[in-house]
Amino acid sequence: MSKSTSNRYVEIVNLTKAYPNPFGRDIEVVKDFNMILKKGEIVSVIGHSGCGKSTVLTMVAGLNPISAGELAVEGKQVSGPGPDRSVVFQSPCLLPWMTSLENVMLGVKQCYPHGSRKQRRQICEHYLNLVGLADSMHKYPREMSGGMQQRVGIARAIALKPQVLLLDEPFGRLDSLTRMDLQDTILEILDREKITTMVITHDVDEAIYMSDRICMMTNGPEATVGQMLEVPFARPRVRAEILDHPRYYDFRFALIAFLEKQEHAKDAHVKSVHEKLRESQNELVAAG
Amino acid sequence: MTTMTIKPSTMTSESVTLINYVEVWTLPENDDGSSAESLQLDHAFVVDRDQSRRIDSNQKNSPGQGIAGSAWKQQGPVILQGENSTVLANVRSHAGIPIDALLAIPIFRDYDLVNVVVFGVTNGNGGIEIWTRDERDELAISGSWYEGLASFEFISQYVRFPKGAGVPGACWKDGRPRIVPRPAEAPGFIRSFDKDPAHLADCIGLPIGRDYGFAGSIILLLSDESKPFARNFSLWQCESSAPSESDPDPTIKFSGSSSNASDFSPAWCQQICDEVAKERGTVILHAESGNLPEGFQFGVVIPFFAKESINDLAVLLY
Amino acid sequence: MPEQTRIEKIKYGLLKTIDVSGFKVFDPVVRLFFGEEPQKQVKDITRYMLMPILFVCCCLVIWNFVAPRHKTKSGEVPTPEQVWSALKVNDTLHNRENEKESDFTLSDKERDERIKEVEILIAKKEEESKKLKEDLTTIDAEVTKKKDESLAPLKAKYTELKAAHKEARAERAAEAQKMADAVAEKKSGTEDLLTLLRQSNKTKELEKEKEQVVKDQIAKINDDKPKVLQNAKMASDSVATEVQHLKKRLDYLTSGNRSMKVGKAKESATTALTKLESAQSSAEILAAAKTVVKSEERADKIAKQEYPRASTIWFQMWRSLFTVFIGFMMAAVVAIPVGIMCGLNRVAMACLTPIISIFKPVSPVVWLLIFQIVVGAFFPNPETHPFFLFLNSLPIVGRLNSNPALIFSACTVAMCALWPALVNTALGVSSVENDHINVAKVLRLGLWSRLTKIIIPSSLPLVFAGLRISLGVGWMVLIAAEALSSSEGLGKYVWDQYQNGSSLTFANILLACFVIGIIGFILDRIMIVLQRAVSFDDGAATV
Repeated sequence: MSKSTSNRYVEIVNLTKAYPNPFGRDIEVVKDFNMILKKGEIVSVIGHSGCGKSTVLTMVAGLNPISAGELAVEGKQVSGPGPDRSVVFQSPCLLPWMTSLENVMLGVKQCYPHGSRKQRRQICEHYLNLVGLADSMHKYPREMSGGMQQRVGIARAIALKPQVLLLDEPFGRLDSLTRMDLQDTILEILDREKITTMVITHDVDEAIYMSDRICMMTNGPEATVGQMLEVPFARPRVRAEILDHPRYYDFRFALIAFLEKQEHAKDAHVKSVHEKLRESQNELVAAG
Repeated sequence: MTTMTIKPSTMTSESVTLINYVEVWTLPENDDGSSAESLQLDHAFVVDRDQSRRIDSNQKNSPGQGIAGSAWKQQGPVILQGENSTVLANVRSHAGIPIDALLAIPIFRDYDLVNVVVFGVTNGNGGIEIWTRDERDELAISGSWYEGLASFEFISQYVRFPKGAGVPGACWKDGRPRIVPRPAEAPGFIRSFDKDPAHLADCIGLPIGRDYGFAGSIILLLSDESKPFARNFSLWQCESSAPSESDPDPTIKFSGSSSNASDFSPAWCQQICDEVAKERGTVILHAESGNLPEGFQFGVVIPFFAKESINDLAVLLY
Repeated sequence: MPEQTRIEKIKYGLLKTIDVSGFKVFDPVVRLFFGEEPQKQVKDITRYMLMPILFVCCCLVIWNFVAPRHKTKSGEVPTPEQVWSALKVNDTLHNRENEKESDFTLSDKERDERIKEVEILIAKKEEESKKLKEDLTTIDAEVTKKKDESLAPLKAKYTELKAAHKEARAERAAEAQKMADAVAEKKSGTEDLLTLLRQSNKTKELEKEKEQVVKDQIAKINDDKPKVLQNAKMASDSVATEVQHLKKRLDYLTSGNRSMKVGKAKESATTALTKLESAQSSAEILAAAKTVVKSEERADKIAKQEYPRASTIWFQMWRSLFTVFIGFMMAAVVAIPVGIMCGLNRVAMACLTPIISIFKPVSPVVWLLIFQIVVGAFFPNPETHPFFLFLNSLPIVGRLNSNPALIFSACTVAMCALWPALVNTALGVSSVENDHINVAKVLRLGLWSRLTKIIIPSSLPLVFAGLRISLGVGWMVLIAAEALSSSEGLGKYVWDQYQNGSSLTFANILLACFVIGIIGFILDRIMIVLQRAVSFDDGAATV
């Protein structure tokens, strides 16, 4: 692989999502989103809820049609969904009529069409082992906790050997202990497998702990990249060390300040809209 | 006929300015139209608390020589600071004032270097950042000078801006300089944290590049309330269309009026425009030559070109 | 979590079974049995089991009370007891048919043995019958005597009353005459005469009423059939019918027996054959040969003959079940694939919507008539049609005498049961969770695995919910269709009972009502169990 493709492994250029508005111009939820990922890099996308983070991810995953812009993985333009960009959703999205093994197998069958039954099974077992579910291979989703279900979801996504792993707030619905546990599990796997990863999150600490770069998104509509932040901590990371790092709180503060600023901007926007409304009302009154 | 209007974004201050030393270097054209081989120092000014003064000098710099020369060589802005720099020491002794850092800004008209403007900054809260495009097509800091902005300085080295994001990204996107007053409160200035930038009064972004639309670098100037960039700083925006083929070198005519009462008479503005149009490069204003409003000793008018035509003017008055 | 003990395993296994089968009512019983929170369980049992049972008992009591008081043209409304006895009668009838059928097919040694058994039984029963008849006569005599005794004074009173009234009437007539004379002689006014006549008429009415009271008393005693007498009569009758039945059996064992008939036919064939051998002239030979062939054919035909069963309620029940099963299967086979197609493809949905909307509300009666015509055309000669020959040669199904009526009833059922299954399947397929669809998209599953791994499993609960409604609708439609078209089945049973009007008619109809209801309930339960078995989450709807 040439250096340029590995330095520009995933290219997102001017990604835009517009929803048609029957009574006016299209509403551009996300506009001109640009990002370039190096191979093996973990990038968090952080922003206020509803700012369009998930829209970006679903567009990259191909689950949401792109209104404008382009997406290339390893120099090749891609469109539509595919196992090269596997997704872990916020809810585990397991098929409830299948055991965890069968759930993982579903994808493995698709990605290793030439493997023997035994080989495929070994692959599934390997990844379930990786996420620490060796004992629960034959359990159905309803027999497992939310955290365990999410582990299966992660195993299923990674077993596809994806070029890009997309995580859509994968810990959003978990309690904080389970969340930390799962963060460590994922980081361990990612450090080993070196999969290029994009994580959507709204948790500042999670973003700093997990990622090499953090993409801060502005508030929608027309949400886009506000700024990127490089996280210089070396991998593999140890949570305690990161938290004790003298500069940790500088990063944390930078992120929070950004988010707060976005919130203020939104308030200001709302305020200005109200003011405009009042003005126009006054004008109306004056005219009347 | 190209028209130019003044977009007033002016701030005035009587106190000492952050920029306390200005040099303007010109690359003269030979008789056959080709560029000369060395930059020539046109003017040098020292801004002092009481009296700004002009230093007479007749220096020449080849590429790589002095700060202006290295800006020419690198085709981009350069920052010099620190005790070890002999160039900085020379300038200090020449000007006879303390100078903390030097910033050289090359001015391009289409692909050609026209001028190099060198600013010297004095000891005061503020910062200079040079944002350069990196391998991911994001802007990263490639050179900087800060005073009194420790946390800001630390975090800024990890920040990247894609096209359109933040003040540098916005400058890159529209290829025009811009002013962001009170950056700590401005929604467009998103790198605010800690108490550091709270007292910043102005932020100015200047796109520096050889081709309109492509920004090699963005210069970000940050100034404190107590020390503005200049006693009067304004950006004039030319809202003209591109010059026509038949008339590639139109005379710029001032036709707008300054709504921001304080300042200048329309006649004066028009005079400046005409001068810049004639010069097609940086214009020095001097009290002696009578082309300055009352109370100012000298001024610099820096043009920003889109291809061949002037798009914006940065007017600094001292 | 500590390991479950064996008892706990059994307990929770049982509880789960109960839950899945939809009999959650018995949950507290099991828990009580295993000693879990007895107080709570007892409370639950009283609330949710005893109370309903009590309520049903109340209903029965009310029924029992109200029924005999409502006289209808076809007799009293039967009490629960009568319905129960109707059930027993129907069951006996069914058993007897079974006996006769087996008698009919017996041959050789077994037949001889059976004949002996039956003869012994007949002897026994006849004796019993005789004795019962005697008892009946004595009881009858006693009752009549008693009746006469109680009637005698009443009758005397009646004659007395009548005589007295006759006298009084004559007296009043004479008085009226007198008065009329007086009026004629102007001794008194006409007004007085009229008053007198009015008075006399009123008195006459009163006298008549008095007579009627006594008359009613007499009639009541006459009508009164004491329980003893009724019981004796019933006992005697039942034994008499039993004897009759046994004699009929004997008949089926001897002259009416299939093997005997076959033997006879063969015998005549043999005689004809000897005749043929001895025959001289060509005319004789031809005639004899014809007889031989005819006799042989007859023997063959008899050998294949089945016992001509009378249709009992249980036979009708099985036949109805078979019909509804066929119809339901037809509906499912059409509805599920079409439903899946509609759920997947909006164009298909749009194409089918008008058809569904128009045909869904059509009454089953109309479908019945249409199918009667259409299906009839396919089987111009049902007796020899290979389809029915095949159906009737099957081991268990063969006994149900399949015919075109069965097919068009099934088609009607299918036509009416189709819609809920179709609509629900389409809904189930189109409402597959978006998350699951996304999973399929990311994995780039092909259409087939998308269908089998994701769409069908996730829509199964709704599909089965639809099928459950379909089966319920089908069962209801079927009974009506059978009643209307005289296709064999419970519907026809009810209709026949209504038409032939025996003393048990009403009770039989009510009995059929219960049978239909209970079967409908069982079918529904089966579907619930199936539905819950395919439901991946535990929260499938009950009721």
